[in-house]
Amino acid sequence: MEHLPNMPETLASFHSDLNRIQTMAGTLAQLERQHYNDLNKYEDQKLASIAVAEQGSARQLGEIKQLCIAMAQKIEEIQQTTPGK
Amino acid sequence: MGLFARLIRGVVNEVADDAVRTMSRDQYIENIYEMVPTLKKVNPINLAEIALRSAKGTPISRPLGSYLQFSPWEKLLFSPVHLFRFPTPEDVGINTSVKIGRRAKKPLNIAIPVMIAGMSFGGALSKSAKIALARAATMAGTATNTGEAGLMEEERQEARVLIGQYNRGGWLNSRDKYQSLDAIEIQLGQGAQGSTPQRTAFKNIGEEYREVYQLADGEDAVIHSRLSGVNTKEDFIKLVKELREETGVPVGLKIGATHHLEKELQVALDAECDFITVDGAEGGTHGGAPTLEDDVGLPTIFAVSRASQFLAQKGATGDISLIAAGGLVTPGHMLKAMALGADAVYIGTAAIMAMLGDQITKATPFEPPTALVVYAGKMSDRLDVDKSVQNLFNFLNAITHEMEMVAITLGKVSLTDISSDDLVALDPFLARALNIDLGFVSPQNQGVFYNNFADINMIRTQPQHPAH
Repeated sequence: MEHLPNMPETLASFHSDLNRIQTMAGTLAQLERQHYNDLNKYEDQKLASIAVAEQGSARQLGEIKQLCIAMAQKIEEIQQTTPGK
Repeated sequence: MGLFARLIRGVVNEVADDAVRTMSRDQYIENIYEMVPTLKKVNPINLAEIALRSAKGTPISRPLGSYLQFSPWEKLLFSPVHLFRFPTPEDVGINTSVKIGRRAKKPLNIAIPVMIAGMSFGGALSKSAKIALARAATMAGTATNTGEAGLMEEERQEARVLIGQYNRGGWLNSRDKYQSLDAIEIQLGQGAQGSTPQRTAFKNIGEEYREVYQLADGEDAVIHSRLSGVNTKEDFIKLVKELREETGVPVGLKIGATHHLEKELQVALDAECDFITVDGAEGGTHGGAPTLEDDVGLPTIFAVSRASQFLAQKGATGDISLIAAGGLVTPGHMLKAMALGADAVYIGTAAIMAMLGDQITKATPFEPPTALVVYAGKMSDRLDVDKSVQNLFNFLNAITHEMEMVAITLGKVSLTDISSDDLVALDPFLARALNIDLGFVSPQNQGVFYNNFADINMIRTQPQHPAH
């Protein structure tokens, strides 16, 4: 750590970026779920198939959101133990 | 009605009348109706298997595991909420993602809690079937599993998350192979066959199979009962530690469920396994002796519950992921297994059937549907890979959506939040065994109900022996 003088700032920056990414992933997942609902209203086989793909994407975005939350928590733990935080 | 139709009806009527007259007059020893009580006594499956054994004199190999329903999943129900706690609003997305092996340097993350079970290329499935499974799993954001095989490059390329089985055949057990995996599952047994050895004769092994398994010309593919080099508990602990340090990925243990479960799990805990896969007696297989499938093991429902309760007692819940497998074919089964403590589930037979979907018409009525997917299947070249990928992806999406629907009515925002508190049992003994409430009486009256049982001596606190 002592070889990395900017570590506290770097961690703070990563933490902020992870929060941004998880917010974006959450918003996009919500959007994908909305698309799933909208596309299913048309009772068209092709659109229904796209809707199913959208729903799968929403879940994977949900996974990204959870990963970001876990990583941000880990960074908080590191920040607690970093001198000069 | 036309003349021809009247003629046919007349003939059918005469034949049927004659058959009924004969059956009602002839004694059993010369009556075809004898087959009805015989089939009822022996059952059609057992009768067919008696004939198959008597034809060759060798154990027979039944595909897809036991037909017996050992786990009484239908005796468990989820409890919806309305007012005392509110259902989840429909615009809230249900979290379906799962982390496996959180103590590992590189835990495994999947978007849905349903993974494709270990089904090997060659030993079980054709190359095109394996590739379809890997592609569909990747589309759905989940993992697929090599099964007991070598490393097939195409499968590795197609699968975003690949769990590899460190196996008793030794085909994936070198560093150059297991280093490319996302998780390592040390396979010591399976629900359908316990830890019994298996052999594929060289005459049934093609060029590509031989290449992936690195078999010499004329060499059989043999799965031994023990893992090479693991003859003591200490050997196993050493192996897990080495694999964890070398790779950083989650290293787990897969066993066939057994009444010795807690003793087996204690060794896995001592070895610091990242995950444990318990494969119940209903587990599928490419082919196994019916006696191993029907008469060996422990049902999935009890295996999951006991494993979960054991991990809780040891304070290991969450640190060691629990994966349930064996006969889970409906989203209800899968979610109930998760509520009983599994972090994720494997599906094998259901995944194969979903992948086939309407393609089974290519095989039926003259061949079984598995002829399209098994390695030695007569029709494996007719499997449409793109169609299979779409079918399986659709299935995975549909079952996850159904699980999300249950989460909403339970007032949960994540599938992993669903627990045994959300279940009731419709059988008193099952409720006791699984440590969940009995649905017959209110939560406040659970103790009263069982105490009254004790009063009328239905539950014996001490073993009682008949007087001699």
